[in-house]
Amino acid sequence: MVTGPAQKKSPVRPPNPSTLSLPAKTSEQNFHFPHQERETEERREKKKKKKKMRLLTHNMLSSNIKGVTNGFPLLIEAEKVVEKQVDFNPDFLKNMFSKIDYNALLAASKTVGYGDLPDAADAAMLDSDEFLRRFHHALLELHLEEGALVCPETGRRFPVSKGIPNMLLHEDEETNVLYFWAERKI
Amino acid sequence: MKLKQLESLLGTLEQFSNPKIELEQYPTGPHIASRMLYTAENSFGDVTDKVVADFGCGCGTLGLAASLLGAEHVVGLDIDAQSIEIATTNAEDLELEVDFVQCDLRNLGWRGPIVDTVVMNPPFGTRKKGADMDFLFVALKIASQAVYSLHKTTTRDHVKRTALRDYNAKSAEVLCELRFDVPQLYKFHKKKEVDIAVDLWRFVPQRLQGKGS
Repeated sequence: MVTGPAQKKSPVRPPNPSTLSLPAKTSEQNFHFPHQERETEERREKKKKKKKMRLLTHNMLSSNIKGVTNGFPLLIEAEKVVEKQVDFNPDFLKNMFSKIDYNALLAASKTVGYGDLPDAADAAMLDSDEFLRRFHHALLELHLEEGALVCPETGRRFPVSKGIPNMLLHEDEETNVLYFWAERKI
Repeated sequence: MKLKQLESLLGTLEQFSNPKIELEQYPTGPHIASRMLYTAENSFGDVTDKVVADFGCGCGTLGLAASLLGAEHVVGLDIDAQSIEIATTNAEDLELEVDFVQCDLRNLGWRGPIVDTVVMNPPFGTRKKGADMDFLFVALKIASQAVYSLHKTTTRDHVKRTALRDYNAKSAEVLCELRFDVPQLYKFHKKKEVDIAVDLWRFVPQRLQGKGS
């Protein structure tokens, strides 16, 4: 990979009064665009590799189509699911437990084929290593790769391709978001 | 991870190959990105073990920087599929686990309060007026701990007033002033390179959870 100095600034620059007072060394010196050199065989191979979405991300998304009053949780259509191990961080999990919607996680994990989460959970269970490991697995290691997220009210599908959900709305589905946010607590 | 190391890793990332002016796509350079995230973690503890969202992630620089500094979960959000594709490849190059969602931030549905920290280099609103403030508005709704953002220094008073008065921020503080070098990416750029003075802001939302200032 080439990391040589990028475009040098032109030696003669017209003085710009608005930037004269700034410290000289904090500017962004090295813009370079190495992509051209890097479009190698290996890189093309990587692009084909599949990307994925965690159920934790699913737990924070909802449908915001015009007229929908309760767009959470999005239903999952799972065509392809992958698992990937990540480091176990009990403190993070304990902190996260109160923030996530457990029932949504439970339903989502069942949909993607993981049935080991208990049907009900409370904070007392956070002392159990076994529970934490299952919670960890469901939240961070199960990934939806291909499929869709579906609005629970309207049935509108948001496709998930290569692990990336497309939540873009059509023009006629859009709400006035600033108004929407101002009115709503999340 | 040291600042220098972070900056040099970010320097290896692929940037926009066909930037879209309507989205004001300008790369966040490694100098600014590394300082932004390094400060967020070392001065405020807003990154390591946190859930971080990168608003308008583009090629993913800020979100990947968060991940390099030990964020537990990072979500990059962008409206542009091509940018997300570059960002996912960048994530794989650095062997980082980052989720991406294609969406228009201004009408994405969220269920909170999962995201701790939002980092963003929003469109400065030179093409679409107020775009950066729309991003900030949503960020302050989503984040439970802090929002880090870049805004043009010329808009400092406006940003501060709007954040505190209209967006209900608990605090709005300029951490430092930086120079954002805009390379000649678009045809309408007459000069080869232009410096823009930008402020690095830290906002604290009202709905603060846990420690923080």
